[in-house]
Amino acid sequence: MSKLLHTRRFQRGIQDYKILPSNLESKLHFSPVLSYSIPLVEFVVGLCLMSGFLLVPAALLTLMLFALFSGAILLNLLRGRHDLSCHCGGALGDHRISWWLIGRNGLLMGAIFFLLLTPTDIFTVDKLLRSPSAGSAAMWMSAGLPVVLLVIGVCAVVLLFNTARSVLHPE
Amino acid sequence: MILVCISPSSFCLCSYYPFAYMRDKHLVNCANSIERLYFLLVSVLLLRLHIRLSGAPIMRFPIDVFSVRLFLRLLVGLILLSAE
Repeated sequence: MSKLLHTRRFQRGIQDYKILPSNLESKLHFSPVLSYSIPLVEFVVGLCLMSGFLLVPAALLTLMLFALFSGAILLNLLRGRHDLSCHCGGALGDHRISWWLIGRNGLLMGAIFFLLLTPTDIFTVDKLLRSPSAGSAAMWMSAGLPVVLLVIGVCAVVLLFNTARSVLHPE
Repeated sequence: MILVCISPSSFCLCSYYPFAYMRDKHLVNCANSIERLYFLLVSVLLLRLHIRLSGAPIMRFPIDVFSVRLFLRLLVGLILLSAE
């Protein structure tokens, strides 16, 4: 989430990958657009996956994100730039790019394929909305509220982690 | 129910201090590894909470497709939300 607050730093990270030629990059303003859109998509998609809201589009977007990240890493590995930071951050940590990262992203993509190919689990917002009792206050109190509380709780914890980290290790 | 929802968050908050301490002592790699394991643990806790709240018959089976789906959803969701 702190990518959204530190877009300049993330933009420099994207530019480090050198995906587009520099003349094309200056014309298309590729990295400023990505520095805003990627964190936003990550945030929305993360919430959707956890709550089970619009699960299939969220899973497809996640798949596209991991494919984009893996493609960028692969391109730089083939160029021999092994000293480049992956700028992954968060729970995944920050490492230099390597084949291991491609494998890790492959495993995460496998997890998303599994979500797409298996039947929807019962405790998702999608399932709640499609149930016959959808819309009743009792249903939302008994099932919707815990999901909302969970999502808010997790967001608060992640935000606190990032704030504590930036206080302890100011750049 | 609210208490059950809040408990993983409080657990997260209370156990953040060891990571902060280790980073202060420059044991950054160690702190990062433990933190990653910790995120996995939080995912498992949230999974158990999800199953408990749903009151579903999947409680009878330790592992099934639905449990794996829930675990993966929470894990990937946490990874994306925590991405710095």
